[in-house]
Amino acid sequence: MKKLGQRAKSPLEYGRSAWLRLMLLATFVFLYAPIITLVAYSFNDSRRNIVWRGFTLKYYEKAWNNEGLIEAFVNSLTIAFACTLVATVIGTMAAIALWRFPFPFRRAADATFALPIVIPEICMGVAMLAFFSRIGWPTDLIWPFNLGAITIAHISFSFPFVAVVVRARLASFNRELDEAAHDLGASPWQRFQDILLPHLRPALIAGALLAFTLSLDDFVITFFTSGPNTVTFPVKVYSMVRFSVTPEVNAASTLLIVITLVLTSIALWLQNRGNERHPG
Amino acid sequence: MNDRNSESPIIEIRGATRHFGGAWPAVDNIDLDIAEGEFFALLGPSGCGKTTLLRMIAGFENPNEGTIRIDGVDVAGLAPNRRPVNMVFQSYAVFPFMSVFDNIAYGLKVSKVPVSQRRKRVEEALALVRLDGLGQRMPDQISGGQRQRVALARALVKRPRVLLLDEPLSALDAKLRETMQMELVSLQKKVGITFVLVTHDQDEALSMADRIAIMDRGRVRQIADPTTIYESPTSRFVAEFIGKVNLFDAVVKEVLDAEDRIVFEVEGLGELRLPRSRTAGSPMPAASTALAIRPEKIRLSAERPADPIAFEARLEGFAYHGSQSHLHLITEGGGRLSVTSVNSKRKPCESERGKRCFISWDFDDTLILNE
Repeated sequence: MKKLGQRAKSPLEYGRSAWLRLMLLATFVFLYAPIITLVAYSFNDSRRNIVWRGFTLKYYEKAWNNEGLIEAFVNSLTIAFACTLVATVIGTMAAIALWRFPFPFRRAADATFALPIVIPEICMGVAMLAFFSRIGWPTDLIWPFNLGAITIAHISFSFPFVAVVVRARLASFNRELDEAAHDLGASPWQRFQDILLPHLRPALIAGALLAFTLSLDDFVITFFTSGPNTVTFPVKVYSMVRFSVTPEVNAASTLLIVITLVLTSIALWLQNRGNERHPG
Repeated sequence: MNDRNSESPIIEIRGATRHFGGAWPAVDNIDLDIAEGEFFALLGPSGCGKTTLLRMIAGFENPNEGTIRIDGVDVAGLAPNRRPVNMVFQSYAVFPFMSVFDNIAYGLKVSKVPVSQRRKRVEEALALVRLDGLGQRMPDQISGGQRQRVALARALVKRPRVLLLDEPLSALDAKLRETMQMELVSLQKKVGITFVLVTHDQDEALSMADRIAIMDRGRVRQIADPTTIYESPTSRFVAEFIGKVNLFDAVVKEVLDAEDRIVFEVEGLGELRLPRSRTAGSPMPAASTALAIRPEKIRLSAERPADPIAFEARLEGFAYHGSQSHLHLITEGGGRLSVTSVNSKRKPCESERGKRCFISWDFDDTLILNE
């Protein structure tokens, strides 16, 4: 009898193919090498990001003391939270409306909602810029109201993503659950709250997460809708990089990565906890 | 039927019709009375409109025409939660995010029954369906049969006048289904609530219901108790839908008033004389009809029996099914019959192909089907 390791490879044992392993390795290298380099060089004790000269935290300190950068950071987070909240609510309502009610031109409405997903961002940015200047959107409001235009732009391109995720989840909803609740005397609101919402929870979390990350790192649309007083983190980084890529930018980017990772982990953890308790 | 005080039906359906835009209405001008405390079954093939009719009683569908009265009240336009009925769904629709206890308590919670009373009633319902002690389990931690009991308890805890069951046993495996059939019947006798059961399983309807309505293409074909439905079907459809049957086209050849006999010319069998009392109404000569005989009513014998209905036949095929055997025979006239013989002895009935034998049956077992 042959040993287990020497056994001939069966067609479905992809993992044992050397060629595929190499492919996998290459993919990981191209995906993560730049990010690892970025993080590593944020600790580099050099003004220029070329040669490694020893470990330091001074660029984190420098970034912390860079008021413009911190302001952009706070702006980005504020916009992202507001956008997530509103986009999740609107996206969910849109998905439920399209799923629940047979109204005329439903397919057309469905397609219209998906439009912001496929439209090139640059077009969307120009359109937003033209729109806000055409209607004379005030640019001299106090913080955080001066972020209104950017937030609205972010909501409008991120809520379709929420709607798509929620739609997919709705497809697996057993309508008899809703009818059973109706039969037992629950009002429409109670049925939504007690029956539909718990079913949608994983999709709401996933959708919100999507909206948050989309908003946080959006550059193109934000670039067109931001003014001198409403700089967001990506826009600020871009303006800093135009002079030189300093470890300061690396440090700020690393922080952003950490924040995103932490929030994603929390969301996934919430989602998994929900799934463990009631699968399906 | 006119005594409206004590004997008035709990459900009264008059001329109920529902169109969905198909070739025929899903429910077509149905009149139906269901008595208080009855176990009533709506039986029919899929697409016959039985579920639509049930959903109209529940309030999830509204009839295009006709009226439905529940407990004397016209329920037109009343929402499901305003009708004194509750439903057990085909998928059970047990809320997956709530414990068994919360599932059963849900209907009481939304109708604002005080917490103390709620607890007591849920405990009672749990005991009723023999789920005591499982209240804190989640639905994915109990078996399919137990989930079904949760659905039952959740509906019964609302104390409806009528409990509607939509194919409640179809998702269970065969053994469990049989146990649940008996359990449902004894539960119904215990609580005394009217049960209306929708099923496509004839065995389920025959063994559980007090009365059965057979439906086809949106119409009720026959309403009767299980024995009458099986032993005296009034139409070809009912005879063929319920159980197995040997069906023959026949023509009335002669009506012999003096002998009180009717002579039929039966395709594949030949001439058959039946007492007049077997036929409803007064058949005219040359009227075409159908005769039917259940496979288990046919006797086999080696010698020509003395029975008035007897034919010679040849054994064509034989299938052994353990408790019984199915024999396929061809008569001299070319008629094909299947005969069920119970294997009450160890040695099953002889099975030589081509063997000649005689078949016979009683007058009373001959079914005359007019439709």
